Amino acid sequence: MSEEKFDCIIVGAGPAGSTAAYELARQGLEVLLVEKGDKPGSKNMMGGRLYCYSLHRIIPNFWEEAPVERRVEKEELSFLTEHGAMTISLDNEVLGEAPSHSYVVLRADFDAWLAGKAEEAGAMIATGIRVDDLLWAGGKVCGIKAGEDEILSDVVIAADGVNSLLAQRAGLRGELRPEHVSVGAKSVIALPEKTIEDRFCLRGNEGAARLFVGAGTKGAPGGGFLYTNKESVSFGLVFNLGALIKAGVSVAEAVEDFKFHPAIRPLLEGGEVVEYSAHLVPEAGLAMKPRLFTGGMLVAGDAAGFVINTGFMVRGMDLAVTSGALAAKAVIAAKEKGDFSADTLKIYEDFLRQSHVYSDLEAYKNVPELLEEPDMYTTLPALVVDILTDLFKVKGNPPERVQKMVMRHIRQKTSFWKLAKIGWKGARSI
Amino acid sequence: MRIIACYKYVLDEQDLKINPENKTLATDRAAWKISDYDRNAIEEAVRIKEQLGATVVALTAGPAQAKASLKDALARGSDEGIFIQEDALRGADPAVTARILARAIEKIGDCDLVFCGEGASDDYAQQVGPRLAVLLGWPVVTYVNRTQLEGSLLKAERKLDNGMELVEIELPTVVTVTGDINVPRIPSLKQIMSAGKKPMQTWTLADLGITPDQIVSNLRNESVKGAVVERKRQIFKGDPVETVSQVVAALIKEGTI
Amino acid sequence: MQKKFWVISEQGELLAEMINGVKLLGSDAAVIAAALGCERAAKIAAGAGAGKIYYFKLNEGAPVEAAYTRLAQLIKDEGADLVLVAATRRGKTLAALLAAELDAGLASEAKIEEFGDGSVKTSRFVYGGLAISTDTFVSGIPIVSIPPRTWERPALVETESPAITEIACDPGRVRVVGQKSRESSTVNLEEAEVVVTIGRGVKNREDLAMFEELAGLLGGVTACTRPVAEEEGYRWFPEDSYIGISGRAVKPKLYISIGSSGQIQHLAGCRDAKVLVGIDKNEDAPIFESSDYGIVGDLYQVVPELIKQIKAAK
Ligand SMILES: Cc1cc2nc3c(=O)[nH]c(=O)nc-3n(C[C@H](O)[C@H](O)[C@H](O)COP(=O)(O)OP(=O)(O)OC[C@H]3O[C@@H](n4cnc5c(N)ncnc54)[C@H](O)[C@@H]3O)c2cc1C
Ligand SMILES: Cc1cc2nc3c(=O)[nH]c(=O)nc-3n(C[C@H](O)[C@H](O)[C@H](O)COP(=O)(O)OP(=O)(O)OC[C@H]3O[C@@H](n4cnc5c(N)ncnc54)[C@H](O)[C@@H]3O)c2cc1C
Ligand SMILES: Nc1ncnc2c1ncn2[C@@H]1O[C@H](COP(=O)(O)O)[C@@H](O)[C@H]1O
Repeated sequence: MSEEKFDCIIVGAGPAGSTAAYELARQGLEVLLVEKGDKPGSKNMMGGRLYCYSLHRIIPNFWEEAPVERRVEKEELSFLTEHGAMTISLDNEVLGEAPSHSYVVLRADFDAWLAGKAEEAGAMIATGIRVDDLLWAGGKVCGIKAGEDEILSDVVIAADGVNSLLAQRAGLRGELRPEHVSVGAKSVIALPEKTIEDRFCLRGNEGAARLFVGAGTKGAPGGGFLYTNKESVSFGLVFNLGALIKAGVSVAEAVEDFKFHPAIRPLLEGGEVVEYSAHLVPEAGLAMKPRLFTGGMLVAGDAAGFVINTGFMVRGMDLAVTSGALAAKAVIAAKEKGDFSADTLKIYEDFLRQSHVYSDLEAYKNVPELLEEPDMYTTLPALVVDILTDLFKVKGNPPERVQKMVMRHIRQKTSFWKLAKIGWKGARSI
Repeated sequence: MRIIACYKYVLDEQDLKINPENKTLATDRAAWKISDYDRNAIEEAVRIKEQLGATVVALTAGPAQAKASLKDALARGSDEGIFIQEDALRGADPAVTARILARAIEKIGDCDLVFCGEGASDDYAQQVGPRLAVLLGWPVVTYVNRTQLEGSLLKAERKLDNGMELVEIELPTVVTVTGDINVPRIPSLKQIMSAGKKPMQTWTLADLGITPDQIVSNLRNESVKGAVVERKRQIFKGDPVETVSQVVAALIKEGTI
Repeated sequence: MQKKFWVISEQGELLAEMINGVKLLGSDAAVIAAALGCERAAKIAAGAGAGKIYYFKLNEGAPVEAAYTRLAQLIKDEGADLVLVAATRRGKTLAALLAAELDAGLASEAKIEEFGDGSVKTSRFVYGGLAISTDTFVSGIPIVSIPPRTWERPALVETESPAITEIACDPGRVRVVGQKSRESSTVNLEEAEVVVTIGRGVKNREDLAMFEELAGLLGGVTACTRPVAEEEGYRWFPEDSYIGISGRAVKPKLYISIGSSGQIQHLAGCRDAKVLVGIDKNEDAPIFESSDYGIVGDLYQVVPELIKQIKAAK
């Protein structure tokens, strides 16, 4: 057994790893996919919303066979104060059109399915195994170590998520810094199918996505999300870890409090929490990107920091899929050359540059800076909510002119100058 | 020597939820596992193999999804895996299971020792082992806590309600094991990798010459309903002096202490 | 026709209990007892009112279960409307052997819910106690193994009786070459008003004094989870003092669980507790789902404080 050598070992059976394994196995390479969870997805309570375009390029119309929950056809964004909410709602059938549409997925099911595709294609999968280290020969990675076992391969793809041990071991990046990551907490709350359809005005497998900015994070940078599954909703918060530590708030408590917000409570009423988990999200985008390759090794997905975090929305699965597929493409190119040195593998970076991964990350490059703007989470939601409240509330007094009322609120809460600054940052970053 | 380890693939009871309205079990989110004590059964068979040399056949019967368990059973050290696929086995009477397993063991043939768990984690009926023995015309030793094989003589320690019983028996025999006979191994990467290369077979009832009328049960299941007691669930966290005083106050208030 | 009930056990106490119990099912039924390998048990069965008693005399070195072939023959010859076997480990083994020999159904460790004309309905725990399965016998002789203490146990009277018939058994192939009896629990867990249970969260055997003290203060007793009674490195309690689906069932006013994660198999033994208090340092431990009051914390801080405050409250 010990002489056996794989073409490629992939560590982590998330969307990045399973896609890479699928692509390589399909091309007839000998692939080993190693996952520390008992099942692919068992450690992955996270995610929720999958933008379809990227996986569709690899497995056309995958949503017809994959375990997807509901197709998102209603988008809402709410600004929250402690007691109020102002919601923008978009209802457009175009949202549901393939392949630019998105589905809500439960990761435990979805990840298991995608890893199953890789296995069907011929990859060997080992679950319940934690990879502890890399093996080196001649300054190049040549395999992995798990417990007592050492397994050799031409290339290792580190798709081991945000905390990527392997990228660290390979010296491709340092320890994560609190300001470079957010922490996401998610609960899955079971509700009868009928209740979900009634509460969110959905029919059949239509789904809703709701995002929240403001009070949920207790003024800390971040936001909340709520996605409808078939018979449950995925609900949670994302915070900047650095700000969280500073504010001394516990994530679990914040989620618990958030459930009782008047805008949230009626949506969750009567539901039972069936899952709760917390996980890190890379958020510094290109700023924290590690080196993506070294001799005999590539880094993909969250491990490479390929996540777009706009504060209230996290998008990483689609980028994980694309980067996994491109890592596979690079491995195949290297195999054709019979050379797995850094020099050959750097083609991976070119592939990424030509793909949407870099242009997307580039487009959102300045978001982290905007996210750090505290007014985004306190002043702004309060301003919007209060202005609209005054607009709608009939008090029986002589009405204030709208323009005057708006000015009064702005003066009370902030200044034109500050607003303009946020506006400028916002326009620049999105 | 050929040793058969029988295991059942069961729903993990920790993942099961009870529908509050009608108390039925929600099983769709539950993971499957090799029944707890059956991992001990496989481990014991493999340990004997490692000491004395033998072939270990892991044998399971169940609905289609149980096929996925073979890899796990093989990674735990078994040499071959046999899966008898029969959807009717979900929630089946152990009498029916035993009938099917007995036929399979006869078909495998040339076997000296059959290990089972003391009871399966889901139904914990503790029947299949003894029933198998009767159907095979073999003796059985149940609740075994320790084994020692000397040639064709098995020495075993049984753990009974009021003490241990030491027994001796000539092979062939059926043995059912307790959960503390050994500590089942956690398969390593290489063991998992080698599992994929070991022989696996799937048989149907027809392959065993069993007709549907032979798997009719004497019992009819009426219902399986959740039985969890609702509790107040007031949880206190933080400074021990505080939390304890809150709980003590509550207990005094309701007259419990 | 008069119904025939068989009650089978190696222990007189359990025969007496079942004889008492079957009277509740059908008062005019004939009760046939099988006392396995124990003459005293046969006499107790006679004293408890069985109409006919078979005393199975075992060959030297044969385990009790070896009686099953002769027993099956007798049941076939005489007929049976219901066969009850006391669910000790030996009893459960014998019941399964008997059922296979008679090609009959067996409800293991079950409760009889209904006994009517030709129909027997039983209920039993499945999934470690999470759920109850209800089943009806539709053919064959109904065999049920009955957990000890299902019914009220009468005062035991040993009676010599002509109704006792001695039966010789096949020796069987298993040879008993030794016995090691074990310390058994002297605590009456079933009647206790307060039960303090410890799990693997307790580090040292010496710490038990602390829990004894707590139980003593509340006028209760101590017990444990299965690993604490059975596992290598623990075995701090007699093996028959763990609570749970495969152990004992208690119904105290107050049940305090300390350093036990609260797995369903364990909780199945204390579901009838009126008030349940859980103490564990892991706030995600399932015990808190099943507690009336839960304290998240290190038991080595919480329990001494609990003792202190209960003392102060007295
Ligand atoms: C709260 C929250 C909400 C989110 N919502 C969305 C969303 O709605 N849409 C979206 O697109 N993205 C979302 N994301 C981001 C998304 O989850 C990630 O970007 C995506 O999962 C990245 O995929 P991956 O394959 O790179 O890594 P992962 O999915 O993290 O997979 C890594 C895998 O590697 C395994 N692993 C790690 N270390 C080892 C080791 N040493 N040995 C073996 N295995 C190992 C892990 O167990 C894991 O299975 C969200 C994230 C969070 C935290
Ligand atoms: C068929 C079957 C039947 C079974 N029958 C039974 C049965 O009848 N009875 C039974 O008990 N079990 C039974 N089991 C076993 C059961 O599933 C569990 O494994 C067992 O109950 C766990 O015991 P525990 O809670 O003591 O240990 P663990 O599950 O290991 O829990 C220990 C707990 O202690 C906590 N802890 C550790 N240190 C501290 C500290 N300093 N302060 C506070 N808390 C601390 C930990 O957080 C943990 O939650 C059965 C299993 C099977 C498969
Ligand atoms: N479907 C099955 N396939 C293989 N072995 C089984 C099956 N069901 C039960 N067994 C074995 O029989 C033992 C006792 O099961 P039970 O009588 O259902 O409690 C289990 O521990 C297994 O070893």
